[in-house]
Amino acid sequence: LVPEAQVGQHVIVHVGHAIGLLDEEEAQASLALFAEFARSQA
Amino acid sequence: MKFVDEFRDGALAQNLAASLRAEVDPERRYSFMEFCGGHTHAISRYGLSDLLPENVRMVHGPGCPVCVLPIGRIDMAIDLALHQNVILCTYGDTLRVPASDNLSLLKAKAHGGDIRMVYSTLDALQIARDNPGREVVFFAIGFETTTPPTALAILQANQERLANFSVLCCHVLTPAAITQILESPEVRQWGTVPIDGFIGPAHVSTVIGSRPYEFFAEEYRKPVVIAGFEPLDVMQAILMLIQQVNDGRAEVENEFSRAVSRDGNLKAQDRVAEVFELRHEFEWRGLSVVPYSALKIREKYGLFDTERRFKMAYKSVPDNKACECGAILRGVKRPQDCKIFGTVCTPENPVGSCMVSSEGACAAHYSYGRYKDMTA
Repeated sequence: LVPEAQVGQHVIVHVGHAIGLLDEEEAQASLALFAEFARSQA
Repeated sequence: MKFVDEFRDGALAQNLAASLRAEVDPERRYSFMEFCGGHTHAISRYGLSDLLPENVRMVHGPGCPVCVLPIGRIDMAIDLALHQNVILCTYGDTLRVPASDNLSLLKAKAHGGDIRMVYSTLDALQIARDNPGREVVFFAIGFETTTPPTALAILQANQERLANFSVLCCHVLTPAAITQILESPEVRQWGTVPIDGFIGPAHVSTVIGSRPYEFFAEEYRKPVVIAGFEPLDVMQAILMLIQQVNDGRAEVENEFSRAVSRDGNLKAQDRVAEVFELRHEFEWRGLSVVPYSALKIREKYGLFDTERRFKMAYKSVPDNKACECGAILRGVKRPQDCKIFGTVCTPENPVGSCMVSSEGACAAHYSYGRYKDMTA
């Protein structure tokens, strides 16, 4: 269901089928946001 | 980097909790429904409710696939296994859901039914190939996440002319269930279940995208934040919901941007549309009969439709009288409000469906939250 997936990328697997591709840039952006909270409270 | 552990960092969760405390207005109460059982599980497992300010309450929603399956549907599967001599395949949790006559699929298996647990529709197809002389039925349950794999199985069976394979289709739709909750008298008229916003499901939204929720923001003025299943995702989503409520906004926001787009997975949607069409109505446990809330197999693939093949009709069966699953699924009651919770009804011996799957509100509270009631 995710024909564009390449070896080395992360996908979301549900009952044995890949249903979505994980966007690493967006994941890093979310983590950066969490880190921002940490800094703002330090 | 596996994009899992990083989203479970305890110190960062404490930071988010501090941001939450700073953001809430102490003068008001916040009540948010996490629709999806995956979030219910995460909230219980990671103790997130303990990190929330006292005036922020999470209401468990009906988004747990086996929880919303009514007894009548499981009775159909049991009947196929015990009286029609089929090989019945389904996902693990489905086996333990209580049905009529004190039976479940697991107990029907003990009575001699050929019932097999599968991890994927591919396993069910293989069982059909290996047993050409037997009828093989896949009992298909779940929301928009499990529907595309079922569509692929039917398309594959069609291609192979696998005439002994069919699907008992019980796939249901998330947006229809949210509408049903928003239209329920507890939310709309009596206000006994206050809902200020929703945490939108993670994997379901990967498939359907964020667009279907825009209706709830526009028509019902309820904010929706789609969140991933990890604890930091859920905390961040609750913070975003509080900010929307404080600002008087009702928008669809996407915390799970690493996997959800506005359009969702178009390939998956296309496969589903090819094989399935809307049912006029479908009975849910707890939500009763909901119009256009489930899918059935199109005429074109009718050969693979178990209901057509075995000329089956659905018969509604009332739940166990002592069981509060119905009210819990609507957010009206909490697991600990049920008289038989943790005594007669346990994960080892569930009376109601919410005690079966780890995503069920009762099972999650039994596993992770019960000790709080004991000290209280």
